[in-house]
Amino acid sequence: MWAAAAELDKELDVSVNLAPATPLAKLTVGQSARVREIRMPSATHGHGEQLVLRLLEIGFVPEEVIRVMAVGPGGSEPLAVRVGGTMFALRRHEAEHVLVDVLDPNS
Amino acid sequence: MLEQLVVALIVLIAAAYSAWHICPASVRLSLVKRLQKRCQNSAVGPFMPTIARAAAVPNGACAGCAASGRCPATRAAMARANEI
Amino acid sequence: MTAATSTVDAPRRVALLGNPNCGKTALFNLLTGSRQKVANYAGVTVERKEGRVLSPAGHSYRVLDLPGAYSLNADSADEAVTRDVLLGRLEDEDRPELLVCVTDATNLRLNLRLVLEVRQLGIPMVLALNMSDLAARRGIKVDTEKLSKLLGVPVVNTVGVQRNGAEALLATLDQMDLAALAERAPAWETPSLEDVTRTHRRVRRILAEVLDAPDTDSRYDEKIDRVIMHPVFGLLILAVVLLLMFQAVFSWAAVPMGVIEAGTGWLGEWVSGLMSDGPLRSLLVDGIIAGVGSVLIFLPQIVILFAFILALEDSGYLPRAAFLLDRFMGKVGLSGRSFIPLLSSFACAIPGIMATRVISNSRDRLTTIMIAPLMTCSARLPVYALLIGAFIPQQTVAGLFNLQGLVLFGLYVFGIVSAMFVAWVMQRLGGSLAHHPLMMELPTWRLPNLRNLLLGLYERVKIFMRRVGGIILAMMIVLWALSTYPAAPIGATGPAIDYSYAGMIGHFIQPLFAPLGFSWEICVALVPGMAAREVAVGALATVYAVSGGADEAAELGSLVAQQWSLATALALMVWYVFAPQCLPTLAVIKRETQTWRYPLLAAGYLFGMAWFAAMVTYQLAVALGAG
Repeated sequence: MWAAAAELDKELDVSVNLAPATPLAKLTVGQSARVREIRMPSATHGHGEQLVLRLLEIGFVPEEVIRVMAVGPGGSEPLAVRVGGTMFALRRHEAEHVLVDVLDPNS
Repeated sequence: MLEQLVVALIVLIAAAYSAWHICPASVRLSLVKRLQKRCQNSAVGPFMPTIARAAAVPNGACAGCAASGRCPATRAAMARANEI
Repeated sequence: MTAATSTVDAPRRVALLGNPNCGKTALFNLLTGSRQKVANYAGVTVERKEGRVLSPAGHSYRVLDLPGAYSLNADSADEAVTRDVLLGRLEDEDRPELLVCVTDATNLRLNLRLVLEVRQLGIPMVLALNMSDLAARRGIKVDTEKLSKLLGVPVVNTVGVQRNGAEALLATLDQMDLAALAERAPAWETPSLEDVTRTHRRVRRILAEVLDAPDTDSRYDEKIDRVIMHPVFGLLILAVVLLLMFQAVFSWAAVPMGVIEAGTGWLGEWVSGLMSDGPLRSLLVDGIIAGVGSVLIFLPQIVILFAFILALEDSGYLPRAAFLLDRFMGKVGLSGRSFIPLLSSFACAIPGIMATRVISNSRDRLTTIMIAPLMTCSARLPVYALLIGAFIPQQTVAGLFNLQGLVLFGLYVFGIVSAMFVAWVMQRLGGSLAHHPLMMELPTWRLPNLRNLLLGLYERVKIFMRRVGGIILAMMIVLWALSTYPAAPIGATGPAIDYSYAGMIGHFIQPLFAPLGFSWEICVALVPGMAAREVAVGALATVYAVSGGADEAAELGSLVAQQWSLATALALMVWYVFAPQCLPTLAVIKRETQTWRYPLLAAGYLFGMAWFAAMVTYQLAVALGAG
């Protein structure tokens, strides 16, 4: 299924990053990143496919630039992520599905 | 004497009103339904639908509720009232 | 509807569709005003809002406000209804003939995707760029003509919060042709991941051509959020906001309350002077004026409380508060999404319980429903305020806060903490779900709209006054009668009221509450308080007025201060934190959970906790010397 997405990637002439992608959950406050792909869940959550679809629908699509705006008290969750023109609060395990390439703030 | 009568009347009306209000709408509607069967051909008959709708309105305890109108109980009550 | 309605064509059915937080509701209210009817969709507990509007050209429209949805691929009952209405899958619901896709002009990136998705359904559509005033202020420019050409649908600017903000929309709707719609839409299936990705790319391409937005438009938002959502400062700010709210409820209301109290007192005296001693005068002064007056006096406090709640809701702060509290909620098995319904319960538990429909996880939802009654509802306020007013001195703490407001804050917090405790217990008993979904949108900050605020307050005041003039008045009269008759027999030694029905009931119940330190008058007041919490205060006022003879009606505060011990007052406050107080709350729980089990369970545990906690409080207070 992801072959088609890869085709679209090539359409837009994106240079493929060979470095391993970071899950969104691992980003810290203030970091910007570009979404690389949405990882299919490894069948533990039960609502996996629906979750992935919803993540896509709210804007976590490949190419999209996102930014972590805040993290909840306690340091790990929830994550407030700016995506598109709005902000969403995600759980750790929801953010685990999103693989990103961290953007260097100097670039 | 007159004074006591007036007071008694006021208290009676208040008691009836309170009883009517505290009753849940479904109980009120069953009452109205039973009444309707008896009063069908009397003078009160034509007024029954209006009474039924009044019985279904969420008042009394629900009156102060910010959700009145959006409550599923209200809709169900109104539906039943309209059948009468 | 005016008499000059065009009778030629039937009203056209138009539906409003859009993401949550795009201002759709404000637009709906603008269009339909008071001509709204709220009901439910058949078979589900989802709200159905329909209204009427007459366009300037004379066409009549039936406007249906569909529940906010991020996608036709539904994630909750609300979204399922939106999808089903559009696809014609609901039995009693015709497909709309026209569609208005409402979008937030400052957030097209997210909103346009749904528009593209829905366009495939073939219903004639208009795209409304709502909040266009906000967009203009931020320097966001949209080429509406080009957008219209690219999408193939008319595009209009709307401002949901301005009086004439929907004129262009109505004008455009008037010009639309109603296409012949099939009874059902073509079969629709869940889109695949690539479909969604492709739609997003299309949106990006479209926006690249029509959108001109300065990069800095979200800067000030970010600055505010950096503070408000800071893990430490954010929580502090939340505490301060709540504290401020409760302080204001006491300090700002003091003057208006004084006015009402003086007015009631004057009225009581005037009536007393007019009439000779007798049952009618007693009914009027001790029953009606005392009873109703003692509840009416709290109107300013209620207005202030609701003004704060409405402002907070409108501004976009609540989801951020939910974000901050999520971790603590999670510890007891709730998600941050439970917070908003819980905060609404500060106003009234019932809308809070119904708001849990947005919670898609059924276990979370059930837990939230079960603990919603513990969140203080605004009707508890008169009781707390009375007790605090009587027993807590008006001191200033730390030079900034007044003690009374602090105690009120304390009571609310106590309510929340106990709610969380109960949630924790439920989690232990029921086994917890491994993951509590969140995915909550944090909308942009906006200034609360004054007009909406005032409208909301006016509604609230109307409801309160209707209650006071209705059931509260009636019950005060009944209670007066119960307290006055039967009259004391000749040669009786105790106060007359002891021999009345109310006295009998009170003395009968009192042993049950003796460990709590409740006097029989309190017991009597608790009974009608089940129907309406405010009645408890009025009942106390009436009972004391009757037993006090010629005492002034409005001095309940000082009467209570004289007759009760501090321990009793504290115990009563604690009782009110827990006790389920209005039957309708339980009735709604039954409706929402479709069984009697949960409301009975809720009533049981709430009464139990109330009794136990009050008992402990009283015994402890007495032991510490406050008895």
